[in-house]
Amino acid sequence: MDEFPPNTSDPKPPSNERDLIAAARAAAKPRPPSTTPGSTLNLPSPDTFPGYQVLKEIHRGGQGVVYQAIQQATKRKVAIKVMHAGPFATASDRRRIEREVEILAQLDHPNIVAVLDSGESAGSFFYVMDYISGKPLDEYVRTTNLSQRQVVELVAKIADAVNAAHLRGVVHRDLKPSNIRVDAGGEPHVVDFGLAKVTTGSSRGGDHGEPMTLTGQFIGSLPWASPEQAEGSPDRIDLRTDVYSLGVVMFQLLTGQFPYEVVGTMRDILDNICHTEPRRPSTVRAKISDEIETIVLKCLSKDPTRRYQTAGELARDLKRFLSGEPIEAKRDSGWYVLTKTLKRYKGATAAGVLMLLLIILFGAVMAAMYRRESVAREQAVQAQIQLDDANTQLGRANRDLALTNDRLQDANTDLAASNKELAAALERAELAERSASVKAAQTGQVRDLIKRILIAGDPARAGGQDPLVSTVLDRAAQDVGRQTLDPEVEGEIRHTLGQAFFSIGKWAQAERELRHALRAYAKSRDIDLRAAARAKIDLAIVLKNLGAREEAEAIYQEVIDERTQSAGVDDVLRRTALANLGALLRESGRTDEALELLREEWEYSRRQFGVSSERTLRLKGQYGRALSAAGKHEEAVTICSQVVTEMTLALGADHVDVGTAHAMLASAYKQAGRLPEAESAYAEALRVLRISLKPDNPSLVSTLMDYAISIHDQKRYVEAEPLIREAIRLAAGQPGAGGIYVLRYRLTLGTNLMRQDRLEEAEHELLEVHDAIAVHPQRQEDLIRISRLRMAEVYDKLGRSDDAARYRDPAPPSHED
Amino acid sequence: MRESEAELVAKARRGNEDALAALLEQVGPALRSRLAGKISSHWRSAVDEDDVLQVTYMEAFGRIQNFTDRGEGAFLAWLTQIAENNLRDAIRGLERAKRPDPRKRVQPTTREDSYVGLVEVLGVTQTTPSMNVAKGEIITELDRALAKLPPDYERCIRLYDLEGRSIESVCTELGRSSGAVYMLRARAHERLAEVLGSESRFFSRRS
Repeated sequence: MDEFPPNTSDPKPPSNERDLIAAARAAAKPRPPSTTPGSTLNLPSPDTFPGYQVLKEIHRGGQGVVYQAIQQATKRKVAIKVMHAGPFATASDRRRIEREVEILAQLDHPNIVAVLDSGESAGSFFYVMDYISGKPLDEYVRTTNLSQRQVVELVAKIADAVNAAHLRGVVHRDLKPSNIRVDAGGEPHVVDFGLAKVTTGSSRGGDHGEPMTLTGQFIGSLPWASPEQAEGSPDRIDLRTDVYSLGVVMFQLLTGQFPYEVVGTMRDILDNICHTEPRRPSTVRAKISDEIETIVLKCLSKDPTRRYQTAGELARDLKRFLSGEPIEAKRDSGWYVLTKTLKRYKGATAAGVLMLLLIILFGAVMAAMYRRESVAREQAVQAQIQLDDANTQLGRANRDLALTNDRLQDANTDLAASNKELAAALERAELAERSASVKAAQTGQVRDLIKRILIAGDPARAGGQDPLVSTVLDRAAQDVGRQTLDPEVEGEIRHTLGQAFFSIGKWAQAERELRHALRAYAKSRDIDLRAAARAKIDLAIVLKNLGAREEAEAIYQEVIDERTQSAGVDDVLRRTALANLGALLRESGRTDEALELLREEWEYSRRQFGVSSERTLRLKGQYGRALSAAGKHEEAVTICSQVVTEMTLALGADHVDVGTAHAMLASAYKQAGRLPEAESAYAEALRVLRISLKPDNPSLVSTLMDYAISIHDQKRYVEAEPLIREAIRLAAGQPGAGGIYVLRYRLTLGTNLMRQDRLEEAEHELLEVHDAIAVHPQRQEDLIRISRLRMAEVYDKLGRSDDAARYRDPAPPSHED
Repeated sequence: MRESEAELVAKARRGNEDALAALLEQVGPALRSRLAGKISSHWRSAVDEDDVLQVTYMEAFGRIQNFTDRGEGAFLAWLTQIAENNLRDAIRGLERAKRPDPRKRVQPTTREDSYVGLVEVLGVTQTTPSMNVAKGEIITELDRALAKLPPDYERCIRLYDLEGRSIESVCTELGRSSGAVYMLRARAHERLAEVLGSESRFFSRRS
């Protein structure tokens, strides 16, 4: 358990009105009559495309119409694609696609359909390509019955072609079988770069970087879309997006199926693309080779950084396979697969979390068992050595006896001593054996308990309902209470349950289990001091979250004293307790003590574990916060900025701890009065935290509130209001502190409304908050004082000076007032 | 300052799509909450609020000129009506798919037959055209009319009604849920009937 929030959920694909409206707007437009002849019977007039004679319409799609035509000058057969005017309504849109056509026209690759010409006709943009007679890729593969090897050869050529476009900075963005045609000679040709966007040079920013299509327009290509496209993140689309689509195409060609379900509601499909791990191709077609499966799955990684980084890399690996060389792609490690699998089920069902908890529980208990069993084994080995020694001495003594009577007496004495040692050694061996059998019995107890938890989590036994994790944990806790367990085993299990309750935000239950664990440890015959100290530290963290700071402080102090005596000043648990105590003191406003303690711990960790170790960086962050609290703002900003940079380097930009570090930096900026910088740091913190935390996670909610306040403080009240309301809504569902956070947030909402001159709403909100705080069990005087001041301000503005005066009066009014 | 609903409606009706988009953004959440709970869990795997909203918004862009502003709240009421029709059509389609009624589906034997069959399903003519004589003309007119529809409507009709593809295959092709396809088809039929009606070719007595 840790002071930093656990990684608990996945982001959802965005589904907001704006996206839907944009997609609907684009889709609602009928094509303009000038460029949309209705059928083969209604071809455009001969002068529509000067220099070309249109023969027939060959395709009509969401983006435009394709005609077959003859280039009159050369008599070669060409295809003319006329784009619908809709998506290219503006001059900059048109410039962009013209530039792209220019690039494609320069591309001379045997597997890319050459662009010969482009122009404008009746207000619509068109371009002319070589006409490829043949079939779309999927139809070709289906009708030609290719072997796995032939499919791989085909895909390698396609990947080479896509790579050629990539090298010129063009990302296709819409790779799918219908955009790849195979000619009579079996050569693939990539067509239709209509959705591609230019990514070279300066084009990543500003108007050039805009995607050429609106989010909703890839709808017809959805099954081949990458997670970044499905999430509607055009900024994240790059070369690796095409690698993903090639992965889907390859999967489809090899198996005849998609890597996940692509029929269902739009939300389901998007969700599958973003979150459902692709099935293994070999589960659909058993004959698919391991290497090919590895290559396909590497392309289909949800995380672009785990895919091939270019289509060229993919092509190379496919060729390695074809020539029998080892491929470069590695299978994901067992641990990666396990965590991905657990993640996949998280949220949808308790099963994943339950499994995780069981693994933690089993791991924790077994580690303890193993530790102790090792000790027992070690004792047995030692006893055996002593036994052997004794035997040797006995032999020697016997030899002595036979050889010389003179030394009979001495030998007898030796014999007696040896016998005594032998007896002692035997006794120790017996003890060790007994201890080992006790451990075996304890292991059996754990196994039985886990079996019972699993049965409790089985939906079939829970009345058909998928039980909540908390329900399963509650049952497990009750079950432990009913069993007569070895105190050590009970301690370990209760401790693990406490951690599990804490990680799902059930703080009260976590406290209960941790106290049980401590009682159990205390009862155990040879008390494990380290385990008990760990449970105490966890209990202190829980208590701090529940608002019981004094008891938390006392517990940290107790751990520090105990560990100093039993293990010395460098004991890691003692150091952890000291660091946590520092953070607690800072939160309690004892900044000077906190500053000193945290600085000492940070420096100690830096010496002991290195500058960029996770522990050192966390402590440095805590130190930065303490500096901020102590009014040393600029120093705090410097330290926190360093933490953000170092953590990003160590953990990657999207790691949850980096999110927390951004929030710390934001707070430092805010304290330093640098509000715009604070706002953008909070925004970044939110972005990162939202990737890994559930929307109602306490850390995420408090960061959201801080972000809202940073906007409010810059007098952008209207903008801040919905954010404050969102934070209130989310905080209302949180455990702990009996809703005092909600009241604090609502007080801010009241102030916000007042600043917007929505006085009656402000009065209503503030009155409710004031009355609720006044009767709250954790009545906080500062909140009462602020709410009264705000009430007075509201009444002043309303011109009700009597009421204003009444609230300026320090004595709280009685409820009859 | 935020523009009032009346101002946005007036602009939208004059063809200002930005105004309509702004209006839809304003009322979208309310419409979504009206829809919430109306889709039974039974159908949730085949249609969700996003599907209904997207087709409804498409209709709004296509038909805002038909909307009569009767004051505050009228726009939301109009949109709700469209959304409810969409949802109803989706559910009907899904229910029918469970108990297929062959008469409700054009059963094409040839390309021409499927075109004529579609015209019958649409009921745009009160006097059955002489099928033998008018087949060619029907195809031409239908093609012309289909080209005037939003692309998704056109594709839905071509794939489902004219090519006789299965609903699953249309879903995959359009990348939409079955519920959404039924909605698109119902709206597409309405629009097609209007377009054909306005061209009034089929109202002339030819047979």
